[in-house]
Amino acid sequence: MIELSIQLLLSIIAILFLFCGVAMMYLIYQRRNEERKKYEMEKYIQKTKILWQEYILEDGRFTDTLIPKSKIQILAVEHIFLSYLRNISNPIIQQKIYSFAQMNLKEYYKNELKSRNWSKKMNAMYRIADFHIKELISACEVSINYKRSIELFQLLKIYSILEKEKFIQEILLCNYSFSESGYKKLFSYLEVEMLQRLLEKIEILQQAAQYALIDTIAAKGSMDVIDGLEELLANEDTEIRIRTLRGLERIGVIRDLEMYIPFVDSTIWEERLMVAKLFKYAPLTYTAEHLEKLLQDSNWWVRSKAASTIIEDPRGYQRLKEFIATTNDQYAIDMANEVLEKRMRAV
Amino acid sequence: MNTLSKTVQKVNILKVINIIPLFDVLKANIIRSHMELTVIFLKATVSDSYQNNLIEAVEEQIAHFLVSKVRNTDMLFRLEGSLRWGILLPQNGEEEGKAFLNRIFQLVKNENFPSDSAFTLQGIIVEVKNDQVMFDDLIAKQFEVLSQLSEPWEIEVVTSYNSQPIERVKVSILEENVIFGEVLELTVQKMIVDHFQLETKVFSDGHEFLQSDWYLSGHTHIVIMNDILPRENGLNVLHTLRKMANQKKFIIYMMTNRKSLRDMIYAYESGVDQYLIKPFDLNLFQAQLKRTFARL
Repeated sequence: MIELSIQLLLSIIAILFLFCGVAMMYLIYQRRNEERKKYEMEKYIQKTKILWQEYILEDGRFTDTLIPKSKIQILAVEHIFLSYLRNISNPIIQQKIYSFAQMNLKEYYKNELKSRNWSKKMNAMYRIADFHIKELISACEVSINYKRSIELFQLLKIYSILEKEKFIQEILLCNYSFSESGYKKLFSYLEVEMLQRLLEKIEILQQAAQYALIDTIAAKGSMDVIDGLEELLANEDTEIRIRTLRGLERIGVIRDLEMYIPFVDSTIWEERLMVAKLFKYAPLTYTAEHLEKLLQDSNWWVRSKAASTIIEDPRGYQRLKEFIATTNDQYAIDMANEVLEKRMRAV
Repeated sequence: MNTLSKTVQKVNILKVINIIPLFDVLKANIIRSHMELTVIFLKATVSDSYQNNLIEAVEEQIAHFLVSKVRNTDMLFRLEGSLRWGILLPQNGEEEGKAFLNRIFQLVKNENFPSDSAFTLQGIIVEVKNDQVMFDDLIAKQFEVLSQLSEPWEIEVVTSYNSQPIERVKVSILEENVIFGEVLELTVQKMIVDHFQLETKVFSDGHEFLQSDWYLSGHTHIVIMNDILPRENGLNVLHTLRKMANQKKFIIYMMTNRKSLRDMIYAYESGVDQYLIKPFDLNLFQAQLKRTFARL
């Protein structure tokens, strides 16, 4: 058993108390410091908000008063700019902010990028993307640690906003591995034309990027991408085919029904489900036979979707009634009756 | 074909005394339901005015004709003195009144009248947009104006009663971001909206708004709020407002970052009147607000 003298124990306790005291003092100091900064920022915002409103919203002239003189003032200006950019969509306002940042904040961010403090460097990169400071891209390239995924991601985000050609080149090199949501975020800054260019080379991309690209391109809802998506329906990857069907369903246009008919007999129920959904964009006259087949599917979701697609058509009610009278499939009859009852209740 | 009836059988038409209470009720609704009303006054002049029997016959023929032309919602009444009528058109403005009167004149002009009963018409249109007007004032006015008309088939528009009273409308902005909240307030305050006096107030969260008694008054109230707010979020505020007995006074604009169709449908089904996806254009926002005021 370890023996400790009371004197030693008291000394240890005293040291711990001292340590706690110092830590407490430090935290209080930090807290006060943060509060002071916040107060100073708010004071600056209150003092200059009318000038900013006049400059940004109206045709107010630029005055030197608006140029931030200290770090706190820079933080306040950042807050003001982000409040405008995140809430108001207006090219004139955006341009005023970008020009101001280019003129008066560029040097500050350039220095921040050189900082050893990682958070300062990252914040500078976020703001470079927010305020479109294109001239600092090369400084970002020099300052980042390419082994750190988050820094690399931010650099790619800057490319996707400000250097789209470079972004396409980089992403096709496939030197990166981000999550699907990460890729979606990166792709979301690209216009349809750029996304179409990537779609043409989709097989080069990493799997997560492929899935993200299909989802992003479909979310744009442009008719121009239908051709590219339809080509993917023959892809070997099941997930790609399912996502493509989902994307086409989201766009909501069927140009060539024949292209979708093989999916009625697919061994993958998700494909049958998606095609049952998609058929609502074609007249029931052409799809009824296939939808009735899907209504007799072994999967409940497929049966359910096929029944709702039929009932959504103006002639669907009658068609379902006729189907019930002619089929022996009890599961299909139950599903058809369920949607018919729902319709009756809704009416 | 609706021809001018040649019958002289007396047609049952309301008298001025019957129309006054109806006018008063409709007039009170002008402010409450924001629906103007229009009164048309008609005077016929018979060429052979010395034949009293003929005048009586023509009066009945015109009355029958007017009865056949007014809609179920319109009210035809006989004015004191011969060959004068009034038609009250609820929920109709000056333009509808003009169209109605022109149609009546055109039909009369195109009819084959008995040669011994040729007559012409003159009319005045009075649009009423405030609840301070008395029916007796209109009667006096029509006598004054009709007596001044010299040409047959002349139509005069009386604008003395179409000044709309200024209505107080509350505009609440619920936005956590102080800078953007103030920008929205400024945008609303800068709007020039005829007949409305806007009172704006900015709240930083839903709780602050619901704790105030600002939203309890009976004024038309435009609420522009973010869906996500500290303490009490926008959707909770929406549900609270839509559960109120006088919920129809609220016109709710929901600002959001959510772009999905499902979210939009949910918002509209929950009672949102306008969905604004951030970031949005302030000019578009102003245009949407102007349309809202135009509908009030």
